[in-house]
Amino acid sequence: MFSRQLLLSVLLSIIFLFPLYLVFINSFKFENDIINNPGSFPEIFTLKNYLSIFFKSDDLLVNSFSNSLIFTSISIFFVLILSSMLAFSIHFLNKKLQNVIFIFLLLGLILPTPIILIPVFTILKFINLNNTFIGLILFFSAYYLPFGTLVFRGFMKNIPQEMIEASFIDGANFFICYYKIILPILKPAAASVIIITGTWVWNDFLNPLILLGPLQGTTVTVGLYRMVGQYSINFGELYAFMVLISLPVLIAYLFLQKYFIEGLLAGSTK
Amino acid sequence: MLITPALFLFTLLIILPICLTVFYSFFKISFLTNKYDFIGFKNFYKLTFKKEFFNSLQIVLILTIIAVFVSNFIGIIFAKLFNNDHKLFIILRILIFTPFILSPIVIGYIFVTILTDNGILNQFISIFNNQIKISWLGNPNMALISISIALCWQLIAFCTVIYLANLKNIPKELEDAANIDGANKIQKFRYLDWPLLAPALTINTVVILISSFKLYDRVLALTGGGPGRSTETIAMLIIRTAFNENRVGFASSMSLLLLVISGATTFIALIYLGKREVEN
Repeated sequence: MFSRQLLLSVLLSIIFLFPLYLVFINSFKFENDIINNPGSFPEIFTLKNYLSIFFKSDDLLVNSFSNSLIFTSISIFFVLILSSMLAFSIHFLNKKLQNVIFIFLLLGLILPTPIILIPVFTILKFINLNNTFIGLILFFSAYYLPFGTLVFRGFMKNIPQEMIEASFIDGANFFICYYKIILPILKPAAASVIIITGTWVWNDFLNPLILLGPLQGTTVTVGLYRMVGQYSINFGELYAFMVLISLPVLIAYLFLQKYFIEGLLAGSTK
Repeated sequence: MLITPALFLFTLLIILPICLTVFYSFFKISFLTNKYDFIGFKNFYKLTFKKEFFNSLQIVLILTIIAVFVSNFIGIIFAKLFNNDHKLFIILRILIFTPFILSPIVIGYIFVTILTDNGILNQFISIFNNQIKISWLGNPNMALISISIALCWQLIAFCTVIYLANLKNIPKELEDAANIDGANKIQKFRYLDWPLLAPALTINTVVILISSFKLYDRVLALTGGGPGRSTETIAMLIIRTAFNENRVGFASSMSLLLLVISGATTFIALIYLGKREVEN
């Protein structure tokens, strides 16, 4: 019984994950090898695809990679700070006000971005932040605020009220209480928020495409799109590019996968 | 105090845009001239004649229905299959989630290389039969199926993991009791797992609904909305109308309708499926 279940599971997983195998294995092949036997191991193992996208004259890979790295980390930082602060301070409001804020947060959580992209574009233009990374970072921070807040909120419920009150009696103000007591307790939740929003921000395509505009530096996803448009692309280079830009999130996921799934459950069951 | 920066940013970039979408849909706006002309309900009136809008609506609807059924169905099968604490299953569980981690545009391009006319799938088919040449992306109906495959692939990964987490919360005693009562596999699923998996079904369905309403990158990579405009999603139509055709007010009226439709659908799903959870 057990071995039959295992056999079936492995077989289905292989079929299910076959596209990923294809991408990985073909990124190490020469073009005609890919066309002739796409499914097999490389006849001649080569790093040519990786080298050639690395040394493209416009530095597309390096530029988009460093851009994504910078704005993703700053966005994560903002989401962490803002949503933990919000989750903490909601605590002290009356029930009615709490519920109002939560309804708005839920609205933000289920809102598809294409709907608000036009006004976001005009607002950023109005405050002169269109086509800048700052504008994009601010938008991401606002957009993922509901998710972060709900994850932190779920965690905050476990903090005994006495602990917070005790700190106030000891003369701590809001900020010290937040910094010294709340933040350390929220660490596991923070891991979830970091890995999940990080993945979403890194992977996002439409928002950077519109909000950064055609002239500004690209992100990894926009870079992939540009690369396909610009060069007469061959499959091998495309695969190599996709492997490289997916690597950071895959590595982060493998190390923090427990937090990834816990966070998704915490954020979505609320 | 601490609350202000977060709420200010959220209001400025999420709540205000929602209000502005409503406001814009009553205007004729161009990004080039920055002129705002009030035209009342004219945008909505024009929308009723816009064939492309209804076509996009239909496409999103079809894709949503396919995604909800297929992803939930396969998700449950995978979850039941992988629900085992043996080490190998834990590894499989970690691996099965990877499609969800990848960017939708990467997924789009993965499937492009597999499905294009001289792509991997057709190469594979031609080994067995040289006569069959299926245009997976060039034929409107086929293209829709190809898109739903790419969409479901990622959503199945998500559903599986959520169902697995839910299955863990079902007490072992219940299954033992069902075994003692002599329930067969189908009965056990119908009366035990299916009702108890209600919370996961709610989460998955809502997530699927949200991701189909904002469907953009995958379709852009796979078909670019083509052939013709046969696979253009609403999100693509809105972005094209606003940023390429510069008809901002008109695009906003579509956004507003999408907001109402997606909001209503998600809300109804939440209420209906949430009620089911309580009943059980």
